[in-house]
Parts: sequence; C-alpha cells; structure tokens
Amino acid sequence: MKTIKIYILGLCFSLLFFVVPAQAFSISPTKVLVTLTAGGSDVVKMNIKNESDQVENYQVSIVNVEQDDVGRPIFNGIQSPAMTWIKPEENISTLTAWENKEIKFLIETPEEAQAGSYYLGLAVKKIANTEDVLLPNELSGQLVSLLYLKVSGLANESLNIFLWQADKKFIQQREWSYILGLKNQGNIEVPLQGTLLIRNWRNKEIYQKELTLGPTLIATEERKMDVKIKTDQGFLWPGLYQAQINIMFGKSQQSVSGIFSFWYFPWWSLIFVGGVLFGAIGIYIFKIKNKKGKSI
Amino acid sequence: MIKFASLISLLSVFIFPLNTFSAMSSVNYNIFADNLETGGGLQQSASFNLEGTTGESPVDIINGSTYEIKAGYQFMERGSLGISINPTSINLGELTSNAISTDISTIEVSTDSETGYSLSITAVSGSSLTMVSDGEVTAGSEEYGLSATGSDSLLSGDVAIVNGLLISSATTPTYNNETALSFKASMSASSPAGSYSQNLTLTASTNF
Repeated sequence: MKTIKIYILGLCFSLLFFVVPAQAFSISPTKVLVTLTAGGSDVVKMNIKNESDQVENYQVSIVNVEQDDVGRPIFNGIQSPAMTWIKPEENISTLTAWENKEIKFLIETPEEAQAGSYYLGLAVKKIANTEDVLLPNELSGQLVSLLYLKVSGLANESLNIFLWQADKKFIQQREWSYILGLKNQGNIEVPLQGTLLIRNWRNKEIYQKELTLGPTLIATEERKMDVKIKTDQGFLWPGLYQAQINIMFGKSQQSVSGIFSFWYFPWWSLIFVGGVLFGAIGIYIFKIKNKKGKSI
Repeated sequence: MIKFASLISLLSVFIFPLNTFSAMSSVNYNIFADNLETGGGLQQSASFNLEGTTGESPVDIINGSTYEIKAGYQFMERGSLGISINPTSINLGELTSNAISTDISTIEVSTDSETGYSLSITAVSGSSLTMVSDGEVTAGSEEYGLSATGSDSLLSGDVAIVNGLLISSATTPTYNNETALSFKASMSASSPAGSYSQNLTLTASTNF
C-alpha cells in the first residue's frame, strides 16, 4: 500500500512539473478561409500569445501575400486594394507576460468586388514600444496568418504552360533536365498534379513519372521549376525523343499538356558515328589512291 | 475506503480525458477540441497571467525523428505558429581593417502546420556598409552581410541583407527549429568613418 501512495504522490508532482517550453510569441490560427459575397462582411479572430516573462507590444496589420517560384509565401510590401477591406480592431496591442489575447479583424468586401480568391496576411509584429519607435540594431519578429478571402461568384480555373523545354537541345547523359513554367490564369487557387511521359521516335512510351509540382498555385501567380529525371532503365537508342507533360489542375480536374522534341546522343554514339565517318573517309581516300595508282 | 478512492481517482486521471475528448459542432458553434480536467484555471496579478491545468497525463511535447505529439489541454490550438529571436539586438562593435566583426542571433520557429513554414526578411531600414556580393565577407574589404546555419537554412555563404531575402523554410511541422543568423562586417582602409545602424523585420508564416 505504501508503494501505491508513493506512486500517487509521484504522479501528482509529475503533473505539476510538466511545463510548456517558452517562446517569444505565437499566433493561432495560421490559416484562415473566409468566403463572402460582394458587399458582405465577417469577423475573423486571431489569438496572440506573449510567451515571454515581460510586457510586450505588438503591432497588428494587413499584408499582401504572393508566391515565389516554389510556392512559398512572400511578403513584398505591395499594397493591394483588398488590404483596405480588412481592419483590425486595434493596431497596437500590449500583452502582459504570458497573456493570451484575442484580436478581431473586420472584413468588409465592397459591392464592386470581383469574384475570386484574394490572398492576404494578418500580421502581428513585436515592437519595442507603443509608438513603434525603432531601437538601434533591432531584430523584430513578425508572424503572419495566411488569409484566403474568397468573394463568391463565377470561379474560373485556368492554367497555362508558358514554358516547357529541355535545358539543352542535344542531350548526352542519361540524366535529363527540363524547365517547366506554369501560370494560373484563373481567379482561384488550383492544386496541381503532373505526369511526365517520354516517347521514342517510333512514338513508343519508354518512361513515365508522376511529378510533384509543389503546393497549390494561387490565382494570377507563375511558377517555374526544374524537372529532372534519370532514364537509367534499359538501352536507349540515340535519336529523336519527345517529352510530354500532362497536368491535372483544380477542383474541376481539367488537364493541360505540353510537348517538345529533343535529340539524345550519348557519348558512345558520337564516338561510333565519328569512327564510322573516319573509316568511310579512310576507305574513300584509300580507294582514290588505289585508283590513281592503277591508272599510272 | 480511502485506498479505494485513491485508486479510482488515479484511474480517472487516465480514462476520463480519453473518453470525453472529441470535436463538437452545430450550425451555430464549433468546439474543435474539449478536455476534462481535475483542476486549473486562469490566475493573474499585475505582473503575471497563469493559465494552469492539472489532472492530465501524459502531457508535453513528445517527439521522435518522424513524429511529434503535442499532448494535453495547453496544446489545444487550431494551428499555431511561434517565433523566438535571441538576442534581438546585434552589436558588431568598432570595425578594424584586418578583421571581420561578427555577432549571432538565433531564431526559433515552431508550427504544427503540415505545410511547414518560411522565414524571410520583410523590412530593412537604416544605414549600412557596402553589401557583400561575392559570397564571403573578407577582412580588408568593405563588406556587410549575413550567413545562416541550421537544418532549415536556405542560404549559402555570406549574402546581402535585402528586403525579401528568404532565410529558412521547412515543409513539415517544426518544433523550435533553430536558424542561427551570423551578421558580419569588415572595412577597408578607405572606408569612411561613421556609425551604422540597421533595423530588420524577420517574418514567419506557414506555407500554402
């Protein structure tokens, strides 16, 4: 019985001593999806948690969000009209040590708002003081919650392959590298799924691979990427090949394709062709010399 | 009787939270997670706030090479992103023409987002020496820049500190993933004397 009492006591103490590790500050949620009609409104709530032992000031703002070539969010400081549709209830917020505070953002879309998706960020930045006077050599942390704001109406899913080519016209190695460029010409984001097919000069499929094309491509954005494959299975004849890419995109599961041709000439084939040419020239010269000798 | 009650309470600590944890919703509300505790609550004074919970087991972050479990009420958040910068002030001191001045700040980012996070510089203000352009800050040349180390770092060598510079990124949930930023400056004999100071904003968000 003494063992059980010790166990219970131990359990109680262990419950008290499990603690959450400290951080400077955090936000929740990290992504918000809001769908509104033009002229509609909604309120989005965000929690800010001061995870330090001192009073801290935070600046709340709205930022524009775009994507880089691999689909990561970038905040380039561009002012988009949709940013004016969102207003935080307070621009500066002071939190005591370890305080968790809820901030409200009022979203009001104008009557003339175009249907489609808008990508914004609800930003919280730690600042030195409520006047946001910068301290010298200061590193400020800012956290952004991604806001997908959808204005209801006609959704248009459209994807364009604006670039699909090999990095070289003549390829010698078995590692083949292509450049793919995509542009979302629609008004909403589209998930992407790709398949690469390689065909030989007889139009026979010799290679197929599912491609990872990165995260959802947001409306109006472009994405450029390298597609690398290693065709090391079986023998490949030198000659003309075709690379075709098929991309399924969007909720409507539409597809778009791109195709181009390229020459594959491995080193051994060049040596072989060179040898044959050299041999042919040699035989030709030998024959000419032989002919001249006979005529004399 | 006391022994029996102790045993029951011990068992209840393990069993009750498991049985009562579930998401609930209707047209008007959505409780994404709930929990049954044996104690705790909100306490505060002028200098602190305490949100305490007792009666759960196991709690805390348990992680391995391929997983992370955040157990307990304190982790019940629908998507969180945290950042820690230490220190927040960089001092490169007085430069000399035969040495490189360096100071380091460590950035930690945590998120439970399945898409991971990205950290970049989104605002640069103030004055600086000539930015490094050859990949390495060299003693005797006027150069200023930073390098980053850590499992999520995207930088290679010393780079110029510019708006939009992507520093680190991960494509899975992270827990206090560290990126050490090493700020470096060097001067040449012809560098003009003066005091230089910059302010940077480091922005983290989850990936799409």
